Amino acid sequence: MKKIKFYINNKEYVAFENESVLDVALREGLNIPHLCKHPDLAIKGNCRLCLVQIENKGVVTACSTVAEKGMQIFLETEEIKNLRKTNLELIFSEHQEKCTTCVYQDNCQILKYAAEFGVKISRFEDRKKHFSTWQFGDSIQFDSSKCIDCRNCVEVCEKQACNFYEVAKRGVDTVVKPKGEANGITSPHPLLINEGSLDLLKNDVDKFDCTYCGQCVTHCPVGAISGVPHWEAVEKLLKDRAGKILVAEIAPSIRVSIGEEFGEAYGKIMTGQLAASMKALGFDWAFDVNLGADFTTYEEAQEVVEMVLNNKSRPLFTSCCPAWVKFVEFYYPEFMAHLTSANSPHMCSGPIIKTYFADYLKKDPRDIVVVSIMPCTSKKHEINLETHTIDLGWCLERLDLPNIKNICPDRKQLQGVKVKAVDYVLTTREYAYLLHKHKIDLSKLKAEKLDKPLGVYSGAGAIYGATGGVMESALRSADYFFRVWDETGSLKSIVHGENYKLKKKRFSKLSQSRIEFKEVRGQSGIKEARVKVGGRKLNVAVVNGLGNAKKVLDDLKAGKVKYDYVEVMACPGGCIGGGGQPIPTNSKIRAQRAAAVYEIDKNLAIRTAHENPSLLEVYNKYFKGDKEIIEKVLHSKFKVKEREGYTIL
Amino acid sequence: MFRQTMLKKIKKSGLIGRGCNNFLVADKWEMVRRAKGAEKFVVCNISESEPGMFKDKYILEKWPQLVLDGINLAMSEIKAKKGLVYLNPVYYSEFQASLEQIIAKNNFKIELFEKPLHDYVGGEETAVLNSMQGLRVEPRLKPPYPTAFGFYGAPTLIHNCETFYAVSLINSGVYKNTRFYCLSGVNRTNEIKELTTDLTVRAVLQEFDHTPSADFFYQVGGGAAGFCYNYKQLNRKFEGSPSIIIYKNDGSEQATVMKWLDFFRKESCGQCVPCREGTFRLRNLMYEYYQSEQLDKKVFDDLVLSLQKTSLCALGKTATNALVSYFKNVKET
Repeated sequence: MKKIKFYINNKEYVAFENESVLDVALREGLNIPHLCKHPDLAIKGNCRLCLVQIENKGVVTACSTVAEKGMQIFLETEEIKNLRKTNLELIFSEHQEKCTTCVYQDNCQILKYAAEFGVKISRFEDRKKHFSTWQFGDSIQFDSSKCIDCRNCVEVCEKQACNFYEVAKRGVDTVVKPKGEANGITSPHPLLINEGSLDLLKNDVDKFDCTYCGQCVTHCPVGAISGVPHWEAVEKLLKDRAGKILVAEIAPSIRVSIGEEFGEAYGKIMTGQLAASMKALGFDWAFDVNLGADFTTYEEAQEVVEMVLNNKSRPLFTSCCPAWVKFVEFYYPEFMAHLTSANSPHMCSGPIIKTYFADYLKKDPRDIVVVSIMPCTSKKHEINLETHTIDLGWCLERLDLPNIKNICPDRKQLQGVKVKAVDYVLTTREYAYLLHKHKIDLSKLKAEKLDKPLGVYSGAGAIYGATGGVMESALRSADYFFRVWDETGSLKSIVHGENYKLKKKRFSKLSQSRIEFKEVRGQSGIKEARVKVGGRKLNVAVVNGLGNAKKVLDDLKAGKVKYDYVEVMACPGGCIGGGGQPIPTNSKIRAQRAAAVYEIDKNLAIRTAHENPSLLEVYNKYFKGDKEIIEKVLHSKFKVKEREGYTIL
Repeated sequence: MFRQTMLKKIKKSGLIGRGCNNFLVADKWEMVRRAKGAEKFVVCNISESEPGMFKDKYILEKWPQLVLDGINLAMSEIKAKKGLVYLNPVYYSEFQASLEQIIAKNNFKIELFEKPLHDYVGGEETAVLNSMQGLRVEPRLKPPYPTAFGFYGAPTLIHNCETFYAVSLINSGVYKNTRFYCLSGVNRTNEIKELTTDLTVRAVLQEFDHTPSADFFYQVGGGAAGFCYNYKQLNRKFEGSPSIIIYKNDGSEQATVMKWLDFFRKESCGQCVPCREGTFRLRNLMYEYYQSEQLDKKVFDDLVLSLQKTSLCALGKTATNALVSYFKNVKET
């Protein structure tokens, strides 16, 4: 690659061809303030903070200036400092400081800059004091009084193929907002007299909706967008538990990211400390969603095998990402029947905790509160779906729950009483915030073990956090299932959790199936592979980012591609890049988190779902091969979605 | 052979673009001609939204054929797929019929495009492109320039309508180094004269039979972005638009100053911080000043500098021209 030499503050630096001054400076560890630039997004140059002086050319923005041979750049002349200061003060006039309740308080970029430049935060009157907060469905909140109009959310939402945001009006009246009117508002809102974006004037807002992926949250530089907070409710329960048993469970991907909130390196594995922290906060039980992931894999791999054996219509799509599911339900309902019905990992562990584990504890399921700690904002939506409620009357009638029957003797009274499988979802950020608030320093905690019986998991569950992980996990088990079918002529032993030992062993003594499918790993948006599984060849694809998903769906519709099995994750990089993850999140950080997830898998003795003893025990002891029970406990139903839109809080 | 001669002719004429960027037309053509791209476009910008400017209308009324001929000449020179005429909504309704008739008669591959709003920033060349692509009407970051990345990303040649008119004159050998000057303001209905390009402001006023005096001050270069001068400062060439507005110098500044400030507050597209906030804050600051007679000079200076030096496009950069030059050249002398 061509390189050029230029100068910053009279010191020589090397830039690659077409590299911007800002990129070089950041690469070299030089400090140039910037807000609207995000490595995932295009250069917009609208915050006007990364100002630098070019000799003989004057003041320019470093983000939009390509380094040229011999160029002389000065970063901190008096003029530059003054201009940056003024612009930062103007930005503060658009940002209502709500620091005490802001989940970003420990890593707020603009406060950091304010201190650096000696900015008077209140020099200009707050213009957006009276601006409202909008809530998208039950997952995302957009506090427009904190928005600095940088449009990162608009762009990332467009990349996610949802286009839920728009830039309305012009000049100082510009508003970045969700498209259309808030729910319940029928009269034409002045915002729709939208001089600027005439293309949006068309009455088609019903075609756009939020999937709650939360990418706008992780791409907002000022914390204007966040997940709907659940931490307050959880904190209240921890303080005054009112006879409840509190169960926390951690998602596969958060153990490799949460350390960042405590100053640890990207990709640091914190499983043991997380276990300790849940206990330190006051949770009674600390479980691992990785086990739930093994259930998902076990069910999903059967769906893959059945699709092939019964020659059902293809492709089969994974469905453990609720933002992806919503994307299909809203934008592409014609593909709904192709989604696997196996529940997502915490929607497998949740129902098991509220039934079999409740029975083990001799507790009324209504007295158990399950809190999932997730990399995700969309999971806040998922837990409210009708399909993820548990009908207690049905449970008592059909499931083997002797202890609960003793506590709640009259089944009729419980007829139609439904409880949520998971009660609250805390994002990685929210959980870190809660720990900070309670002065628990995750880095300093002594590692503990997660609780059994729901704490045993396989490497297959562990890799769910990275794009390609679900696919690889399912392929590992499908490989085994196909062989079981070929030897026994049925999947009965699998449904019964019998851990059938294959007679024909082609793999290592340690495992009954092929383990690594490296062809489905990596951070690229669409990966395709032809893999050999259980003697059969499958065309698979692994997709991350909804924009890529849209492309794949359109190509499938047009008959341009053919796949047997496709994994889709709404967020770039999968859950390790999720909307609930620490900020900043970008491609480099995602790659490091993903590497850590595979590291966990590599070091585990059990690396396939079908060899997980905890899982086999549940199938064997509780489900006893009853397909209706498995269907009801571990599978979901989908339905076509109308626009859920947003409300004004 | 034809192409060579046409570009040579333009080069020889030394024609400067009649927008307000003072760009050598031949250079622009050369850039688009050399730019890589399967498709190329020519755009004629007839947005004419600077207050005090009305020459494009005059040209459209008198020489629509010459404008379209000029576009067509440029199209063959750069091998453009299509020509586009971007007309503000008022002109569109007025000239659509006559222009389309000429296009049809000559079989030109030229289409008319109605500018969605009669706004100011929508006349900036990259905002023109966004507008025609159905995007939000606001300027793009430059570079890349339209010559390399223009209409739907294709290399695009954009000129003001008068430039294409001049191209036609050059082609037929009758170009005489003239351009159109606009005069308006006190006791003047909008007046236009075609005069040589190198005149001073004073000389142009003379041609319009106006004798500068201390009773007046003059805004030169457009009614929004133009600078203000007193009657002694007129021995200067034009920068920006060839427009002069005559104001009465009777100390009744408030209405004039607020008119400028209101204009930019309204016309800012809202894309970048200094312009979105600066035009608004500066307007309010001056409004307060006229109420209380007190001005926080530090805030004033900071806002002006931020607008001038850090705005994304020329609108913000020139938004304080009139105001600052008025105080410097008119009020304080």
